[in-house]
Amino acid sequence: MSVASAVAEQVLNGLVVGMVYVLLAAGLSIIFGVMDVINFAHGELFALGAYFAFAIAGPLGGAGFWVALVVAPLLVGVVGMGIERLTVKRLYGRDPLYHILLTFGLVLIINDLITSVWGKSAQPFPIPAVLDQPVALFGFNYSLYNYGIIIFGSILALGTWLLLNRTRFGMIIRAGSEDREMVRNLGINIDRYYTLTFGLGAALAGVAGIVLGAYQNVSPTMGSSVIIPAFVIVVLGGLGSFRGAVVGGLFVGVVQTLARTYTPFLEGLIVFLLMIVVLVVRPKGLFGTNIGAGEHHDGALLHGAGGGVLSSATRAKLGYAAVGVLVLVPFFAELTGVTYSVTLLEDILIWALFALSLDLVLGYAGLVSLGHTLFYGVGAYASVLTLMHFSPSVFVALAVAVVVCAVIAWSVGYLSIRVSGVFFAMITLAFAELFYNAVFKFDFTGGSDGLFGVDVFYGLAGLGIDPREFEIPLGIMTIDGGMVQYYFLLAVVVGSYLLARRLIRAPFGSVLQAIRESEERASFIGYDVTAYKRRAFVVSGGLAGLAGGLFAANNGYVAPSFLHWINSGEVIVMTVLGGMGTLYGPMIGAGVFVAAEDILSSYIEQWQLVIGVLFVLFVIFVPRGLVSLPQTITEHSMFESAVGDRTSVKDAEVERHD
Amino acid sequence: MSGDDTLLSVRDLVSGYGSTRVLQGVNLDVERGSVVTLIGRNGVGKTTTLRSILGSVTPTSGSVTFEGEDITMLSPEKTAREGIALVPEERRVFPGLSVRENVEIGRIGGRQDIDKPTVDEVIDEFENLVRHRNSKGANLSGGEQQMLAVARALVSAPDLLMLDEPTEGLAPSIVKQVQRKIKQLNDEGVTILLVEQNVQVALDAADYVYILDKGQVVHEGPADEVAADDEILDRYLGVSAAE
Repeated sequence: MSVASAVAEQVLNGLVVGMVYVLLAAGLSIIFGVMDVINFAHGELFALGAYFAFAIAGPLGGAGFWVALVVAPLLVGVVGMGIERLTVKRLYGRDPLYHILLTFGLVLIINDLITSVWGKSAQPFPIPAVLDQPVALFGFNYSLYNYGIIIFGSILALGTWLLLNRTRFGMIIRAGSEDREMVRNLGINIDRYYTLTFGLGAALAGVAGIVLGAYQNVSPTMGSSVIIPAFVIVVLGGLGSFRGAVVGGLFVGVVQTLARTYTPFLEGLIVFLLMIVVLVVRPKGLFGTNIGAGEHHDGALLHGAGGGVLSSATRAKLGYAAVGVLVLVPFFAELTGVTYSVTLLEDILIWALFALSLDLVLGYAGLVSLGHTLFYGVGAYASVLTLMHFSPSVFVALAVAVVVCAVIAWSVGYLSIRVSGVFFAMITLAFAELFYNAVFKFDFTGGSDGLFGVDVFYGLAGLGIDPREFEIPLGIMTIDGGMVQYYFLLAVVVGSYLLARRLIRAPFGSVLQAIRESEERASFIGYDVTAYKRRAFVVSGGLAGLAGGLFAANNGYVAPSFLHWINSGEVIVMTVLGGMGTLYGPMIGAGVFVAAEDILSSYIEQWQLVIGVLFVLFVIFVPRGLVSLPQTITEHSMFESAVGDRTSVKDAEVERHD
Repeated sequence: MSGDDTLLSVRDLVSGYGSTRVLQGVNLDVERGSVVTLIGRNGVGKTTTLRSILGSVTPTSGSVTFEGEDITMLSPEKTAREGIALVPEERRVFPGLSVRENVEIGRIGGRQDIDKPTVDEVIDEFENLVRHRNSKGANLSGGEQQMLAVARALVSAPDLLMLDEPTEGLAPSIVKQVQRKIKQLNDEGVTILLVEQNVQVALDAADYVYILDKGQVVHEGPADEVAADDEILDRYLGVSAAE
């Protein structure tokens, strides 16, 4: 094969993948453009399409594929409409963050359902025999199926474009994306169109899933492997821009495929690098416009602060009590032999610190960092590398982790904080993915294995404790190295909490909260909003790095999974679960989440499903988090006893505004 | 003036945002075929009155009756389908939609049980829209956008047209055009409820005037009587008609 035809084949392969991306990104982009919903579950709808088709086509034999190609997307569309009606709909009018959280919960649910029905392993999904042959075109042989995808994808994309721009349905949803209240004022029931739009986006994802499933195979991970590139495309092309989704999808497909063949080192990196470059040059994306691109959201972030039936003195007492219990646990564990509880507590403490760090930007500065695991992971790598190459001291290792992460946070913040909201979320996600993919590429990071077997010395310059040799007999028990680790961890986490509290109570914290409430007003008073946000992000990055460093030092290893986006999702879940905008809330959230995960996963196989369902319910009904529960309960009982008349008016109000 | 010809009747309307009460019991009537204006200083509840009638703000108590039917608790989309069209403050045309599409979407809304004029028939009535049929809403001038917002409301053939500060921010010559348009529409039989800051425009256009202060109607009367009452104008608006 000549060089030219080899390149041509790669470009065609790229277009095939690109078409899949176009269908995915188009749905994502329409859903965002019209409803301001960032649908994390889009990848799972994509996987669901593939599995539905797989289930339909299997028993039907020869014609099965064609039946599935029509029926499966419709089914996914119906699932999408159901999701919109039952969950997404309830959150309109709130900050887009809540949709990210909600759909993150849906990811857990749908993914667990898929694995429990169809199993965890990948399965082959044969393409129809008619298409399973090469054709000779332009002087070389190429798969007919692949040509089919390119043609079919183009027709669908064109059809969607016509639907959006040449029909009454399209006109109404375009108008709705610009000013939904005005559409309502004209007498049009926009909610019905929202449901249809969500269904349309889901169906497109379903088609993409079928097409790719038959091109490769069907597997439960296919959703999570496409969702991030699909987001990148949507942001690269311009949020809400259909043209952007098409051009971005094809471009990313081709670039990815060419990179895989010709510059394997850049595979997995180039897409994120591209996105970062595009956003630095054109913050709105290639085809993004100012019109309707969510400059103004009426929806507020619901934070847990200020709500306390518990007085601050009571809370302080509870805090002391909690620390006291944490101090005593190892002794009881030692005495009763349940040492496992200490391991669990260490996990909780580390995640609590991680959640605390996120809360500084999310709950106090109102910045949604979707890639916070970047700092956690980099902190872990930095401390392990320090321990391996420079100093066995945990102090040095953690200090390096904090400094490295703070520097990275400053740079990421420099590039991304000037663009606000959704773009910030996406850029942080892109940076996290960039680092995630990068650690696989280098020898010094240990590639896909990570780095193992580091020893930690709790001291400086030879003075201190080596946990492997440390042992003090104390009556019926011994204080060993494990306890030293535990107490060190506890001290660092409590110290970090006190530091964060000091920071939030200082004028710096007040300014941050003012920015969260109204960026515009804070800047009118004369504060440099961007600078404050960036500083908060630096502190937050440093603390997240500390959490990662602690985990690595405690467990003696680091692996690429530390940088996986699922961590970023989980830490957001913890923060909101506990109640963002309070420093203790996210720490409680971390405790509940880690403990629940631990307990559920040892009893139920479908624990992800359970957590997902609980989380979805939480986002809908208790958006202020666990810490708001006492207040909600008291308010509710007071409300019940108040005049019934008032209740009916309030209910009516809620109904009309949602 | 509540008679058989009353199209819209608002009684003791209390309404606001969150815990803030803006309207403290508003009473007003709009007679079929008339132009009624609401005037008053900033923040007295003029826009909130319109929003409460439409339903985008939910009243806490009181009633809104339209064509003899209670519409107090209807959502905006249902109220609009009863035949009330709003030309909102700051116009709010759809910037990414063409002029034709803006009007077309207005035609989809409104009452569903009547014949409506076609999109082109309505556009043809607005001389400054005719040339821009296919331009995007965002590319129109302020005056053109105002006309487009009126056209978007008119195409649904509403029984009541509510205009919220239609002359705000427009050049004097354009204000005259808007005034002429209101007059023309009323001559064609459209009932109009107008909120207006520009007292001169308000009094010229109106048959009947309500003056609002602190969420209540403090004075009402035929437009020519109010226009002649310098003391009232001075007390509630801080201007006299001569200004």
